Formats: sequence, C-alpha cells, structure tokens
Amino acid sequence: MNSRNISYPSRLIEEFRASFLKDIRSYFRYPAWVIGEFLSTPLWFFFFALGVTLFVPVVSVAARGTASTGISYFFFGFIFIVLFSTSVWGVGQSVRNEQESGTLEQFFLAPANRATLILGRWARIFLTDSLIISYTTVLLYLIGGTAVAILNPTLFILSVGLYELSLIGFGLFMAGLTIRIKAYNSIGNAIFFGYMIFTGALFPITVLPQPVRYFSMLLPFTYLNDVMRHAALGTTMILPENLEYTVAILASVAMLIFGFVAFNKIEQDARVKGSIATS
Amino acid sequence: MPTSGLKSDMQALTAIFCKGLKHHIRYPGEFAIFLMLPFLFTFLILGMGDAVGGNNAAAYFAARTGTTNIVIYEILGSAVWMTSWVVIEDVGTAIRDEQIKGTLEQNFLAPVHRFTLLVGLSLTDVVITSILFLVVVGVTVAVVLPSSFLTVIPAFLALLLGLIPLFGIGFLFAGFVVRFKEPYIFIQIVNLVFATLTGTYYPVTLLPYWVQVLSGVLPQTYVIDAMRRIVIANQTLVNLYGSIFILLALALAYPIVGYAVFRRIERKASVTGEFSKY
Amino acid sequence: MNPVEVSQLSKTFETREGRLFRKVHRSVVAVDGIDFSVPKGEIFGLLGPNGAGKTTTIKMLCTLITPSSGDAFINGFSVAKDQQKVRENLGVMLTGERTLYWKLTGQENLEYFAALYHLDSAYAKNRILELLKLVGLNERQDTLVENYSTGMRIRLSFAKALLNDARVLLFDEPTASLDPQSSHLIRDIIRDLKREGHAIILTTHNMEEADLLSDRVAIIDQGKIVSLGPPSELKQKVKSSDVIEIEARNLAKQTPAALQSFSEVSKVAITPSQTGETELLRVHVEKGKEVLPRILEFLVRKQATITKVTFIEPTLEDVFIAETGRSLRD
Repeated sequence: MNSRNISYPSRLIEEFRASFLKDIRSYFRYPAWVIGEFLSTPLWFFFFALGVTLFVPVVSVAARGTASTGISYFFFGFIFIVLFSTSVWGVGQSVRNEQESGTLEQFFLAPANRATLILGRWARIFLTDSLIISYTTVLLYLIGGTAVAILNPTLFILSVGLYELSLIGFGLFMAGLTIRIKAYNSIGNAIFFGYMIFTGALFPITVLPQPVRYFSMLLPFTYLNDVMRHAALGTTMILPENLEYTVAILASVAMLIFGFVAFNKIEQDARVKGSIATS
Repeated sequence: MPTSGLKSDMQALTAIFCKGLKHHIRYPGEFAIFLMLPFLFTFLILGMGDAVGGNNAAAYFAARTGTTNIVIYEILGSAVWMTSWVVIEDVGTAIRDEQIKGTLEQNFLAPVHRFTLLVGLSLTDVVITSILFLVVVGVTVAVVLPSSFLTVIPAFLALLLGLIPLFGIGFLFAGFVVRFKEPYIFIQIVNLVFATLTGTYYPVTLLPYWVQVLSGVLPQTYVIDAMRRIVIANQTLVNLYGSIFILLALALAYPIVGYAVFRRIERKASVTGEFSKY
Repeated sequence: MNPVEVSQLSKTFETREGRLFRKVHRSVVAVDGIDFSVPKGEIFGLLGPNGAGKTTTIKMLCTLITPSSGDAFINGFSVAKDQQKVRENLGVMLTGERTLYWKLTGQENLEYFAALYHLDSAYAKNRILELLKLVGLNERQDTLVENYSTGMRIRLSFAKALLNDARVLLFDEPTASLDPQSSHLIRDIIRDLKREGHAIILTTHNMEEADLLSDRVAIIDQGKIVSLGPPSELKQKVKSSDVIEIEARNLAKQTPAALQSFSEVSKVAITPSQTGETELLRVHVEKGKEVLPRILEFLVRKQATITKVTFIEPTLEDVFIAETGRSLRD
C-alpha cells in the first residue's frame, strides 16, 4: 500500500527540499571541497586584485579610499563571476557529475519535476556562494582597507534578483547541454571566459574595440551586469536608464523561459537517442 | 626474461609516454584551452587595468615594474603559471586518474620504479605544454617585441630548469592522492598560492616582506623574474647566475624531498590497502 | 488489460561513425518489433546475450529511451505519450551499484527518492524502515553508501525500486555481483512480490536464474524475441534431441560448422570453459548415443584432445542454441 495524498504544489516543495537537502549533505561530507572552495574563491580575487593594483595611482595609505574605487569595481566583477559560475559550474557540472557517477538515470526515472530538482541544487550553491562573497568582503576590508559600499541597496537587490532569475534559466540550459555534449569542460570554459571578457563583468565594454562592443551589446548578461554595477557604484549605463531596465527585465525573463524550453527539448532528444545516461 | 635496470625503466618510460601521446592525439581539444588561457588571462588583466587606471594606466604600471611593455610582462607570467600548473597537477592527478579507471593497481604491480611511473604518467603533458609555452611566448614576442625574438630560447631554458623542482611538488601531491583521494581542489589552491607568491602578474616586491621570504623558496619566482629580465631587459643567463644557482639547488632539493614523502605514504598505503580504494 | 502490454516495440539508433571528416551514417536496430504482455502476479524473464536488446527494451519501458515505433503500456499508460504517469506506476532497479549517492547514508538515499516519488513523509518513513529491514540493511542504515560493500549497494538499489510499491516492477540483472546468500534473499523477495500480485519483468543473462524464477521467459536475440513461453515448455521443444556437452582442447574454429555436416546434428555451439584452458562443444543431436562414437572419432582425427563427455538435460541455453545456432555466452 502506498500513499500519494500530496497536492501538486506540495510535491514541488518536497522535491525542492529533498534535492536541496541531498546537495547540502553531500557537499559538507566532502570537507576537502568545502575548505578548498572557501579558500580558493577569495584567493582568486586577491590574486587578480594584486595584478590590477599595478594600474592604479601610487598613493599614500591616507589616500587609499580614492585608489580603492578601482578595486571596488573589480570586486563587484568578482561577485558577478562567482554568481555566474553557479550556472556553468554549479548546475551544469553537477549534471555531468551525476552522469559520471551513474545517478543521472535515477534522476530521469523518477516522476519528479526536473526543474525543481535542479533548483534545489542551485539553491545550495547560491547559499554557499553568498557566504563566500560575504566573508571575502570582510577580508577585503581587513587586509586591503577597502570598504565595499553599495550606493543604492534596493536597486542592487532587485537587479541581483533579476540576475539570479536569468542564471536559473541559463543553468537549466547548461544542464541540458551537459546531457547533449559530453565534452562539457571545454564548452564550460569557453562560456565562462566569454562571459568575463564580453559582458562587462570585470571591465566596461568601452575597453573593447568597437566591433567587439557591438557583439557585447547583443548579450543579455551585459545589461544585467551593467544594471547591478550602476546600482552599486553609480557607474554610467550603456543605454538610457529606463530603456536599460526594460532590456534587463526582458532579458532575464527570456533567459528563464529559454532555459526551461531548451532543457525539455534536450531531454526529449536524449530519450530518442538513448543518450541520457551515457557518459 | 624481463630485466630491471636503467634500460628497462627507460623502455617503460617510453611506453608510458607513447600511451599518453596517443591519448592527446585522439583528444586534441584538451590543449587548445592551454593555448588560449595565457592570452585570455593577460587580456583580462589589461582590460581591468585600463578600466581602473584610465589614460595613465601604462604610466602607473611602469612606475611599479620598470617597464612599459605590459603585454610581454604579463604573458610571460601567464605562460609560466600555466606550465607550472600542468606539471604540478599532472603528476598528482595522473595517479588519481589511474585510481578512478582502476588501472593504478596494475601499474603498481609492474616491476617499474615508482619514480619512472610518476614521471612517465605526466611526461606527455609536460612536453606538450612546454612546446605550447614556446608557441605562446614566441608568437607574442614576435608580434610585440620582434627585436627580442631570439631571447625566447634562453627564456625557455630557464623555464625547463624551473620545471624540475615542480616535479618534486607533484610527487608530494601524488602521495597526497594515494592517501586522501581528492587532490583537485588542493592542487588548485596550491597553484593559486604559488601564482600569488611568485609574481605572476606583478613584481614580488609589491608583497609584504615576510611574504617575499616565502616567495624566495619557490622556483617560479626566479623563473618569471629571469624570463622578464632576459626578454624585456635583454639580460643573459650568465648575468642571472644567482637565480640559476638557486634554481639548480631547488631542482635538487624538491624532487628528493617530494619523492621521499611519496614513498613513505606509498609504503603505508600498501599496509592499509589504499591502492584499491577510490 | 494486463499491467504490461508491449506492442510492436522497436528502437533504431542512428549513429555517425568514423574519422573526423569521413563520418558515415549508420542505423542500428536494437529492438525489432517485440510483443509481449505480463499479467498480474507473473514473473516475466527477458533472457539473451549481451547486446541482444534486453536493456534497451527495459529502458523503453521505463521511459529513459523513446521507442522508434510501436508502444508499450504500463497500467494502461503509454510509454511514448504518458511518460510521467508511467514513471509513477513503475518501480525500477537498473543494473550496477553506481546508481546511489555515495555521500548519503542508506536511509538518506531512500528518503531522497521517496520525495521524488511523491510519497507522503509519514508513510515514507515507515516504508523506508520496512524496506531496509527486508533487504537486511537496517543495522547499516546510517552508514554512508561509499562504505557499503557491492552487495549492500545492490540490495539498497533493490529496496529503492520497491519504495513506491508500484504494481509493475522492472529489475535489470538484480542479482549480478551478489554472493549466493544475497542472491537467495533477493530471489525470495521477488517470489513474495509475485505472490502479492505485482507484475515483474526481470532481465538476466543468467539462465539458471531465469529458469528458477520466471513463470515465462522471452529469449531475445538481435532485437527480436526468438522464443517465448514457460521455461519447461521451451525446454520440452529441444528435448526431442539429445544434448551432448564435449569438453576438449585444440578445437579448430571450423569444428561447429563441420559437425553440422552430420545429418543427425541439428545445432552446435562452442564456448570457452570456466577454466579457459578448454572449450565446450554443445551438440544438439538425434539419437545421441548412436552418433556419439562418430562425433568423437571426427574430433580425434582433427587433433582435438577430449577431456570430458556428458549427456545433459536441456537448459534455456539449449533453447537459445536451437533457435539461433549460438551460445548465450557469445
């Protein structure tokens, strides 16, 4: 005898909770990975930050606040990259890992909603990434004497919310891509570097040559990064303000829908080809 | 009847090298990323520098480094970093890869010296990476500073000398893998720490004094500095005899210590049965 | 309608093989128009060599692979059109020990899958404890799966398939890699499930197991069902012939073909013996006792060294040989 007296919304919540719990448990039972991630992420930041300091004026300690604007700019880029990596390396790579460990078939055998299961994983990564960003902020202040300030906290939170919506969609697309293309690492690296170079994550797109700039302006993440940075640092926007907010909102919703549709299509194709679990 | 000795170990080394080479010929994409990474990282640094420094970025850079040749300065650091990463990671993860495939025990059962195995399992990658280093640096110097093109050769020799101590660090990781099974994240941290301490994108003099002491025991510190002096400042290997002498000493010390630690862990593993676990 | 109805189910894989710029399109027919049904309370065995199409068939039934043509119905739901409903109505155990999360305990694994199968949490809690006891893992429920032995992992996978108490159960090689004691436990549970009225499909290339457990067996080869029926009936078909097993060394490759030139010999198959030092010839022959001296004389003339000769009762292997001319172990 079994019992299925659960309403559809409750099912989704249970699936999300189960996936989140599974991921949290598995993550913290790899202490090497936990320590490694919490150490390596800020280390990447400080490593590149040191390289960037070569290009700022040589100033006294007293005038450090002025020199630190450049570092703040870079620090927000670091935050964007950490959050972006959730979709490429967090969600996408996790599907690849399940493929290699043999559990992916179980994922597709169950009558559970794929998106909620993937969201559960995304939620764990968002949680741990937020912790890492928070304590890197503290370290930046303690070691570098740079206090990271946000000019418009409300707009910043809203824009981060939009960004996360788009990342969920993009993450679903990346998860589907992993099922389709087994050589995920190369694609993941290419996308990751493409993001860093073309979307204004680490430097404004005005640094890029004109023809390349046009390409950047076609990418939805360019506007999402720009809106977040404008909210945090008051930087000049690429487009007129209201237009850019509209583009960012549309881009975010479009990516969310695209992610769902792409994932479903790739899953159906994989069932026809029989390649769901092949690694 | 099989015999042991230098000749047979060289034979084994050749066989392992050829096995690795076949793998890379079948999967050439793995090294495409290596060709691009030094340029990508350099470009990121340049872009960020331009963003924070504005029109005076080059002047600020020159004030700290003594050169306006930003691209060469950064690409040399990038290329050494990438090459060092491959060496350190490959020796350690070659063991891990064999563990996962289930072939580690088979390798360890063979009457081949562990040293030969450790070196052999990573040798293909090291050779290919070193050649790619020449390509990356050669192309950049040819385009940006053609008058210094020939300096790429002594710079490459300095790199080769600097790779030997890195094998020792790789041996340490190999032992770590046999014992703890998950090397990747620690290798990433160690590579990042080394890159931070050894002046990959900046002079080590930028770091606090006590950190510079740590930089002084790492081979890449001398390799990167030597290459910059050779390619940008047109110095020769003879001029840099101090750095060369230190590199030679490190080339002796690191492999001996690294291998000794690996053998100790391996002997313990044969008691606890670690080889078959993954 | 039976819990499982399969009608003209087929699967063709389209592949592109060859070197980088010289790829050639190939169609591989993995399953070719199979039909069968499984009523309540029956264990239906799918037996065949590697690559016969057993796993592809199972994967189509559990919706991991979409059929190219035909359809199958699980409790009335189409595997092609009602995939979600099919998954809700199936309990599936796929082959291998790597279908669990190694960094979760046995109990945590089952809790996770219980949520995916939408089991009410109070019910799931009791069900999990019951299943862990059933498969003998109740004392190790809080141990991480990475510390389980292979047998324990397989038993946990088996328990996972029973979580949602589905009326239709698919087991893909459920006793592979298990020791005799654990195999015995799993077989007993499968028999109990049959008595409870579940429709069970079992794939195996262990013919003794298929013979022991199955009410009916479908022998599948190259994507087609070559024989279907109760094991006793299938074996009866070949009982009209004698089956002689000859163990020998130095058998030439052409020996099976050459032996078929004897008019009384209907089928011959050759496989390596368990030791690997000799080979086993399995000869289906009329009037075996009369023909045997001539067969042995022929083999000796061909320089074979004969070590053992046995007259054996036909098994499902012999049914396979009779239908295909090959051994199940090929």
